[in-house]
Amino acid sequence: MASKLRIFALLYYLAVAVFGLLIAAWLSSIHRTPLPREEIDALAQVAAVKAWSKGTVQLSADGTLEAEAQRFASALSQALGGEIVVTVAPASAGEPACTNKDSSPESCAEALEASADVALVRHKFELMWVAADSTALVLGTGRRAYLRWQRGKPTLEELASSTAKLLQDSWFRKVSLDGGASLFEITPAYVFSFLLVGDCGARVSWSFFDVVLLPYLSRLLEKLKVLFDIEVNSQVVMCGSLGNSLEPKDQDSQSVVDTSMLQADFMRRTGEWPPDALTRDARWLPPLVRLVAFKPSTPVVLADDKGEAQYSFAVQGFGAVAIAHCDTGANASGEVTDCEAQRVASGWISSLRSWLSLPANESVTGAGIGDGVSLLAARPRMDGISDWELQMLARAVHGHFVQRTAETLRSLVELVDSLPDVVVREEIGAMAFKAAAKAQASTDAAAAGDVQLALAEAREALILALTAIHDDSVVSQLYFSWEFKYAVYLPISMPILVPLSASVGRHLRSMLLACLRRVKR
Amino acid sequence: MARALGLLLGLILRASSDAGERNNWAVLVETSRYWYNYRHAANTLSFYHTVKRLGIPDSQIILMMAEDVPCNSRNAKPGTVFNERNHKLNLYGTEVEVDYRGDEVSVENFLRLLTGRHPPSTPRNKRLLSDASSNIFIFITGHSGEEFIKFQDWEELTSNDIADAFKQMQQQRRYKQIFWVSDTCQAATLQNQFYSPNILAFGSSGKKENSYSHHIDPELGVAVIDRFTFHALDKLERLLPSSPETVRSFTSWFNPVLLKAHPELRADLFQRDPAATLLTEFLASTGRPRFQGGLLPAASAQGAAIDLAKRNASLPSPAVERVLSSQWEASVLHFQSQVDDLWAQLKAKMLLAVEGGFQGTKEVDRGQLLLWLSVFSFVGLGAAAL
Repeated sequence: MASKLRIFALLYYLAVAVFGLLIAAWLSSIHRTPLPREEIDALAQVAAVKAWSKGTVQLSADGTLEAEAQRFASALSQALGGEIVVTVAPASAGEPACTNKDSSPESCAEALEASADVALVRHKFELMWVAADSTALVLGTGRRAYLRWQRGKPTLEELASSTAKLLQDSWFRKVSLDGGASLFEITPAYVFSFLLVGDCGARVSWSFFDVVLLPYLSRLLEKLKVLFDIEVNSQVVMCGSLGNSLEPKDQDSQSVVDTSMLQADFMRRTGEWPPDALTRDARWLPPLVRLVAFKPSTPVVLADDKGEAQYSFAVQGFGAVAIAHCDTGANASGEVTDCEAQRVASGWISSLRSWLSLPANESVTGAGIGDGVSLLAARPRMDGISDWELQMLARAVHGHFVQRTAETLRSLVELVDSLPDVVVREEIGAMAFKAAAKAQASTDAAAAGDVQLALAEAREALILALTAIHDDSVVSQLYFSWEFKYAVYLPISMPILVPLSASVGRHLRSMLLACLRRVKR
Repeated sequence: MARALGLLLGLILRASSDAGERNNWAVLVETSRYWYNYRHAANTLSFYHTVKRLGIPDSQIILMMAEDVPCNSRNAKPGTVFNERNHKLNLYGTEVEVDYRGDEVSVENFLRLLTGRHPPSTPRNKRLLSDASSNIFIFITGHSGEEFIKFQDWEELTSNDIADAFKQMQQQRRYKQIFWVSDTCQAATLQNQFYSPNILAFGSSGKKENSYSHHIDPELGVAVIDRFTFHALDKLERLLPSSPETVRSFTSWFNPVLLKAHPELRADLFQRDPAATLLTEFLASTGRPRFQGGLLPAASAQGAAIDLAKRNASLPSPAVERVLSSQWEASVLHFQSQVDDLWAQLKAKMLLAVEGGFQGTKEVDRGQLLLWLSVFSFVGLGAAAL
């Protein structure tokens, strides 16, 4: 009886110990929701493939060239390698300065600068083929170009070949966003903070919306918003410096700020400017791009390394600074004038174009010449970016976003796999699945030709992926080595488990021996 | 031969100084609490002043101070922190921006800072918003042991945790290069478990070695600086943004006899030679300006701007809401437009009613008139109050 009671007690203790071990294992288990591994692998393969549909060039010829339009279209399509579809369309009204035989390509380009197209990203380009006294390809700021041909110089086939080469160097150029150190990382969203900074000498002010944004930047921002999500705010800083002293006694009538002064003191001075205030909750914060208009009370000259006067500069990771000063007489009120707004807007736009791997001050670097055909492009003075440049960037940005989404999600999976103590909640898994789905939808939209949808989906996918990898709940338990774990748990468990196991074992052995004796009898 | 070597070295150094554009961040952490750890606060603030002097702005410095030494009741010089007994420089002047103070300096917050995983409401100044072009200088000081460091008086952070955090930073593409400097006991053991690329790590003492304080301030009654930081400042106070000082020359500067310890540099994870890496790549802001050869002359799109304004003036479309400085302003404009329309309607109706009355051709409904008057008064009062 006592023996049976003892066995029962030992078994009870053993059951409690096992139950306790199970509870401990459950409490120390790490919850990890499944992640979309297969979708991420599929995404990585899709991202490597060109997802965009073929572009189309609609060729229309004036009366004298109509008969040869089809032949030229075929030759052009062949020269473009079959990647671009060239179709022939009826002639339409064009810019008189470009269709007029007697006008020059330069006047055509100048006339095109004054026109402005609506910012729609489409695949279709228009090429108007006109007879002229010289041969040139003039690109507008929209999606229209004028191919002016002096008959016979060059031949039609040579013209097609040269035109194809020039178009591949311009309209259909592949932009690489990863080359070199860009001003800012390419991310799906930004906060543009416009700062008007004075030098303590006079009070400065501006009607940012009416004088700066609406006339000079609104169209550029509309175009950039096709690519990125952009938030805008503006501030005024009364006392700031580019690196020179703010003491009145140190300020000459015209102070020169050179590269070494900027390098030594500019960033340090910006630490005194007001920072951006977080206006909404966010796990992943978009980069802050500062666009500064510096309005000095006394003239300031910026000098580069060669000693040449400059009006603006950019600093990696900070933004762009432009001097708000016009030689139109002193502005006693300290308010930013239209001339000054135009000057600073030019500086900012040039810096932003350079950041996006575009030439800073023109659409094509110099007037190119391709086998007797010169290339000119109207400068996007009103929009900041031409439509066809936007199309180029859209492709590059879309590819970059999809690739980054795949990489970020893969990093999340690798992180989770490499750190066994990382907790992964259901929300994170859902976010990852959604990001993968959006990225896939974006490549499908690109293939179908819906560029704006493709970009919007790609942006959202990357933001979701970045939010998932920056989620504050994805934290691992602190490292606790196995030596420490043994040192803590063994002294607690051994005094109970060792005697328990020994007793149970002894009883089981005696029971087994008793059974064997009974069997022998 | 010597001239050729000198030329080669000059080329290397020039190449290093031009080694890509970058932005610089500094994370300075004092992990100790209590008054008698005064020197750790002085260590941290000394490096803070150095990086600020060399151009890194406060917006790119994360300063974590576990103990409020300047306002400690034991501080005979309230509001001040000195790193030497002659009190030449008050390290806690008017331009010190502490981002994490007191109990905010914790293992969790430090790891969240490195991995970028903050609660959504965390402001910008408390986040390490670095990117793939960022050079990050991390200085940490306090009490530590073999492969762990103590935070406050109740937490520990191991070398494995720091290494894992760096791994996550690498996967998130949040750094280009990291320079880790620790001034603690057995500091070099903190970097034992690092395994991510492009990390330079320098500890003030080796395994089983202590880092000692330098001297005591008789007025304050505590040690005011550690030996490692004291000798480091000898070098750093002469550093300029254009200095050719390299990481190797900095780490070789320390005399183990004076430190009573052997500082160790770990460079196996770093892809470049520390002898060819400028110290200013981590401690100074590049601030190198990019000038454009020419500017695109912006033209005012007035006509298009007016169209845009007209298109967006009636109701705040998403485009207008984005450029407005706040949602509140958008809603005010919306309400104002509605009030304007309503006022026009009310005015027309009143005129009709009144004209009909004067001309006698129409019988004025007094009740209707009173109703319109009262509605108009209410709306007008509401608009005025707004």
